[in-house]
This record gives sequence, C-alpha cells and structure tokens, in this order.
Amino acid sequence: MPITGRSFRRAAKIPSVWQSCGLILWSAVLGLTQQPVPDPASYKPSVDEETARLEKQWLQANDPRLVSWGAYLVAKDSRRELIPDLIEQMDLSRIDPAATGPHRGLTGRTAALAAVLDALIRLEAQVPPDRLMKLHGPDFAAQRLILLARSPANTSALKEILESSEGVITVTWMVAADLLAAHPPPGFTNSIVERFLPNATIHVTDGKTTENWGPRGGGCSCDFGPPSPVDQS
Amino acid sequence: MSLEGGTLFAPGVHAGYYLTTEEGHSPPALASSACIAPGREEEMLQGLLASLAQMTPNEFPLHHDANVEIRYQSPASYGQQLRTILNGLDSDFERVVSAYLRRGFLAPAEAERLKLPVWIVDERQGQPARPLPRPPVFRWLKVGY
Repeated sequence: MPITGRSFRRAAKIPSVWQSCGLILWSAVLGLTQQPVPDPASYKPSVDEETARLEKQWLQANDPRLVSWGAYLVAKDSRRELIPDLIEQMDLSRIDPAATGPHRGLTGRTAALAAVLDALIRLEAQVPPDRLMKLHGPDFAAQRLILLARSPANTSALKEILESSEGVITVTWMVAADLLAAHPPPGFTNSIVERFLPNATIHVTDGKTTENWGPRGGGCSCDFGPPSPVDQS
Repeated sequence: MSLEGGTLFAPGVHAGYYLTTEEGHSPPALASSACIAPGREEEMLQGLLASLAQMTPNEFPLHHDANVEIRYQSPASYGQQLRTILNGLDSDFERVVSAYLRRGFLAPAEAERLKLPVWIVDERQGQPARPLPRPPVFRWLKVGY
C-alpha cells in the first residue's frame, strides 16, 4: 500500500503544520515561564498592573524569601483581592522545610508562613478556623488567635485551644477564654468554675499559733497531715 | 489596661491587644512572646468569672484561696463563729451560681453538682485539745478537714 503524505507524517511522528505551530507556541510559553522572576528587593515595577501580577507570582513561588516578600508587599499595597491567595499559601508544603530563613533560628518555611499570617492580619482577613487550627506548634499561637477573633464561627477552635493547654493558663488560654466569654458555649462557665476552684480554709487557732497560711494549691490534693478528729456527738 | 499603639482584638476584663513591628526593610519575621506574671493566673480567672456573673472583680465574692481564722475559746463560741462564716460562704457562692443560672451560662444540672470546698484546719497547740464539733451542713458547701 502506498504511503500517503498524511499517513507518512503520522507514522514518522512528524508534526503537521498546525502541530508545528502549537509546538512553537508552547516553546514560547515555556520560554516565558522560565524567565527569572525579578527580585522584589531591587525591582520596582512602574505600572500597578505589573506590581499586582508580580506580587501574586512572588507569593506563589517555591523560594521562601520570595513568598515572604510577596506577602509583605500584598499587605503593604492593601491588595485584599489576594486574600484567597494568601490563605492558599498557608499550606507551604511545597517549600523545602530545610530552606534557610532570613534570621537565625527560623527556617525559610517558618519565616514565609510568619509573613503570610502577618499579611492576613494586616488586611483584616477572615480565615476559615479549620485552616488556622492546622498551624502546629506554639510559634504562631498569637497570629492564630488574632485571626480566630475575626472569624464568626470560631467557637470550636477556641474550645480546642482551651482543651489543648492541659490545665496550664497562658496568655493564649486567657485570650481564648476571653473570646468565648463574649458568647459562652454550653459547659464553658462550668469548666472555668471548676478550673478556678474557689475554696476557703478556716484556721482554728488558740492564740499560740504562728500564722503562715500559704496557698493550698487547689485544696483537694494537698497533704496537710492526718485528719483532725471530728466530734461525733 | 490598654496597650499603647496596640490593636484590640479580644475585648473583655483582661483584653487582648496585638502590636506589629517591622525590622529594617526586610519582610517582618514575627515572634510571639506570651507570658503571665507568676501568681496572676488565678486573679485573671477570677476576673473572667466575675465578668460572666456581670460583676466587677472587686464585687466578686469568691477567691481562689481564702483564709479565715477562728480563735477557739469555747465550743459555743466556736460553733457560732463557724456557722457565721459558713453561712457567708454559702450565700456568696449561691449569689454567683444564681447569676450564672439567670444569664443561662450554667445549666441547672451543672449547678446541682457544684460545691464550694471549705477546709477546717485545727491549729490549736494547747494540750489536750478537745475535738472540734461536726460543722453544720450547707447547700453549696463541701466541708472537709
């Protein structure tokens, strides 16, 4: 069977005219995306449209330094339309956890997340509580609380913060309790009363006792020696 | 108390403020320092409970660790002093619980379980000390030795 032009091209994997055009266009697109991203520390776009495009690009970069700059500039320029992008960037799993940060003791990922959260705070964004509760560790406890305070559906998240403190009262705990106290959910007041555990100690003396009444540490579990005899009559 | 230049984000008896600062021209790297001065925890909780009862911290009658003294002279005077003290504690606690119930912040079943612990500590040194008589029973108190 004679090989026609069309079937020959198909057999030999030679691109048609249209396919060739497509390849050229694709190469051009690749060429564009492979251009180095301007450094925000030195590059100042002259047109606002370009600034907005670059800020979004920096925000979505894999380099924590660019992400930090992007977040910082987005907040500085009050680009509230990029709040969804900032929320999206709270998941920085694409950034190498070992990448170095701008300051000693901070990894690049931590620094970038700090900048993203700072931008969200500055823009007075409302972030879904479930996204905030995925922030682990004490590093972002303050940012999480500030953003939670703005969320209308924050009750479960705030209760989770109270429960996670394991009885230790910190500023984080206190602020979470303060926010819940504005509209106390069921069980909240009871839990605070139980945590506070008011108690009174009556000291029976005969005038010869040296007064040294220290705190009883909640009163229930302290060992104050054998119980006093109780008159059963 | 307010924080100069701070932004209020958690209004309340111990309100929460935040302050953002920048360093040089670098993107800001944030650090949160959160600490409560030692010994202030209970005071802050007391303030929170007072606000839930719509009382000022000074009006709030309960304290985390209240100490009262009875100078033992005779069984009769001891019994009278003890009754007066316990009666005061019982009515204070009832006032607070009633405020929570009135505001709907406490369920009746929760209130039913609440008891104010009161400890009686015999510190008499005279020998031989006569055993202390059993204290009277009050609705909101759980008296122990």
